[in-house]
Amino acid sequence: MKKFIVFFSALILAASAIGQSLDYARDQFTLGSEAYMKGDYETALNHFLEAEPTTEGLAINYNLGNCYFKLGEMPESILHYERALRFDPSNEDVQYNLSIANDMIADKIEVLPKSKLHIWWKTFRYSLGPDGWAEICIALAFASVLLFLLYYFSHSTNLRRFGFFGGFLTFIFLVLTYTLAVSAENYRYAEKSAIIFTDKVDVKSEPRGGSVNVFVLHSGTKVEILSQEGEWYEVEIGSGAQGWIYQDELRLI
Amino acid sequence: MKRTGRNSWVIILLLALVPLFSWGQEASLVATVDKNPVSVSDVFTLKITLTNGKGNIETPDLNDFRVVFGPSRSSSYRIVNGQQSSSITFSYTLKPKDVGTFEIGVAKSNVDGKVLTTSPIKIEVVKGASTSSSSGQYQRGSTQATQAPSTNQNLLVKTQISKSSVYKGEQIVVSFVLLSRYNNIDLGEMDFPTFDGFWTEEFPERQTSWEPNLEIINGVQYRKAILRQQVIFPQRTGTLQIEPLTLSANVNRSFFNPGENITVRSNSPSITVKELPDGAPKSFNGAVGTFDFSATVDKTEAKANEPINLKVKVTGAGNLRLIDEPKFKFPEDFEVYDPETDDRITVSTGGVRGSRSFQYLIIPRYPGEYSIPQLEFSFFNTTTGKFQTATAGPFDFNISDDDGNVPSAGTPRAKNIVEQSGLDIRYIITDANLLSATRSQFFGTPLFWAGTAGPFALLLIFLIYRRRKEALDKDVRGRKKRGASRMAQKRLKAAEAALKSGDSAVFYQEIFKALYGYLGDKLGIPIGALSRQKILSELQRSGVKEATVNDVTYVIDTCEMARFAPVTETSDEVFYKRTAELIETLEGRLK
Repeated sequence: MKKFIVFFSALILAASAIGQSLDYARDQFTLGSEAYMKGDYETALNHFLEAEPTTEGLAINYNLGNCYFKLGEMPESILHYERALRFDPSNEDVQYNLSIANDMIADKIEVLPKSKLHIWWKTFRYSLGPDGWAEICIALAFASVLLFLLYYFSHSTNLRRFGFFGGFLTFIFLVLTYTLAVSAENYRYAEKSAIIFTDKVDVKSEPRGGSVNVFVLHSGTKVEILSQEGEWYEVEIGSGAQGWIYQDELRLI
Repeated sequence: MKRTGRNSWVIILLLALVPLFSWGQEASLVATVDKNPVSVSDVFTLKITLTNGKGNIETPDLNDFRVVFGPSRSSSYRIVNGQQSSSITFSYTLKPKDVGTFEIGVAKSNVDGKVLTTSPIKIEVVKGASTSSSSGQYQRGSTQATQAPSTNQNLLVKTQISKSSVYKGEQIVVSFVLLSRYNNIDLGEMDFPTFDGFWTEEFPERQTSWEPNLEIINGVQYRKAILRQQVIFPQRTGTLQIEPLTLSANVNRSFFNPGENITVRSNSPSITVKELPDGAPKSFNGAVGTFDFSATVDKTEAKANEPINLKVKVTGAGNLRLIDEPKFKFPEDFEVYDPETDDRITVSTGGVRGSRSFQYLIIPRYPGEYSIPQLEFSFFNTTTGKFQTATAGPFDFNISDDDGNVPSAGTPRAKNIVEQSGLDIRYIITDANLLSATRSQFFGTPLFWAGTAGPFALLLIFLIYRRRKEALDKDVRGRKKRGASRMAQKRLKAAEAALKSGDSAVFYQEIFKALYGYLGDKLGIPIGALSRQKILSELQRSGVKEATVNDVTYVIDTCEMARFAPVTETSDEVFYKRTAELIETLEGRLK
């Protein structure tokens, strides 16, 4: 019993601590927004950066991206826009600003075209976020159990049949929704792409300094990370070209 | 007093005459030879001339040559237009000792405390027969030249450039110069180079004529004429080479002599063209040079539909003709026509200079207050090596309503297409409530698992509980059922014992218990709910024959009667047998 109380009070303390830091983040966020409105991007950036460690999501990353853009730091700007897209890949404002920022950097990479279905699937999978899918999961779980109970207690054969198949189908949907939630979570937090931060990077054929230069990238370019070997990352760019980059040259999204 | 006055007048007059006979030009000392190169078996003349000066001439060391004759001294003196000039010349006739290149050193002279020197002369002595090629500068008469055209030293053409290292677009003056020792020369075909990679501007046409001054090259005097001059603007970077000029001429033609045809080629200078530095301003349009920029409007107050002239003028030196019309941002409601270009450009040895102006015709279509923002013109300044931006304006206009031509209600105003003219990112999110704490994700938390798996767990627990309870219930009844006949046999045994002992009351009681207990267990009726009515209705429901049910009623009724009065209808033995048979029948029926 005593242990229980200690555990709960600790939980409440932790929750209130989170609440307090979130309040702080909100204050900083508001201050940053005001500074941005006056055109003082430097101050706005500092406030947003102050808020960044205790919060996450689209808004903070989007605003940071805007500040960096206004200050002319394109790699940082693109990094934060990409992070914002992790939370909502179909957000139009973020996509628009990102496209403008991408026009400002040195590299123009021929992106392999993606089908409409692919884009729709990506939007469908990630737009709700893991929490949205989790809520649907719970709703489906309750629905499934209720339908099973209907099957169990009903005297009418039709109702029993409906209960059984309905419950079974709902359960299958529940499993699918769960996998969607997992994939949305991975998309958001599993670091699989990065932005180049060095002005000019020679992409190597092997994870070794002296190896052949395969192609050259410039700061602000987004790369997909395929694997890691010691301090080197194997990357792929939009056109499909692959190579190795030293870890100091890039930052993970 | 008077005498002295007259004397002083004479002195003043004499002094006044002095300037009339003044040394018109400054003193100079020049050394020349009559040919260079010379054949080893030939002789040549070295002349050292002191002009307009008096003093000793210190002759150079001539040990590399044999002095055939000289020095001979000659002097001349003349007055032209009151200008006095004199010259003293030392002449040597020299013969080379050996083949090779030899230098005739510096001759010096001290004139009025100033030391004058000549330039050293390099004499090239070549093998070969006597070549008396030279028809010396002022010698008349013909000679047979045997030298090849390319090595003819008596006729030269040169391509001279004003600069050899320039920025892209910077102007260079190119001069083609003819140098001749022939007196009598007819110019034939001239093949001027084409300037690949350059934009060119021609000097105005003029007659080719000898320059007044002589040019001395390596001690040899030449007459000089400029054949052609051009200004060129490199359009590419790197090292660009100008092709040589080829010229053919007929020399020394006279009444007695058909003359001689000579073809000569000029040098081929190369020009290093540098790329303009990075960081060109946005308004940079390719102008290279030094420029001034100005803009004027003829009025700032106008009525709608009344034209306004905006004149933009670029003045200076540089690639004026390559300046495109500057791109300006005019208000959307102004109709702007393509500008008229007016050039006032001169080409001279100083390069291309002048002005280029653009006249824009602007028609404001609607009344209101408008402003043309500051106009910018950027160019690359070749003197500082930096980009420079000049500005003019801004211009504000006040356009009043055009009384005569008000758009009537029937004709709708021409619609402006709303175009996105500026490109910028969209605004930030300002709602702080949209923030969520770091990693405050619900998915994956225990609560999520409780919500998802909980209903199923509850369902499972509920089902198991029910299944077990049912199983338990079924088990109790089954056991009782199976044990029913055994219990009945036991009871019947007790009844039989009572029958033998003749205790009638106990006997009926035991019979009653046996049947009741048996039926209770068999039909699954709890002891508390066991009654005659219940048993009968249950038996009927179980589909037992009417006769058997009647038998059961009879036995129960008889037993109940026996509790109060002795049974007389049947004997105890018969009743016992009947009951045992009944139970046996029921056993067969109630499975």
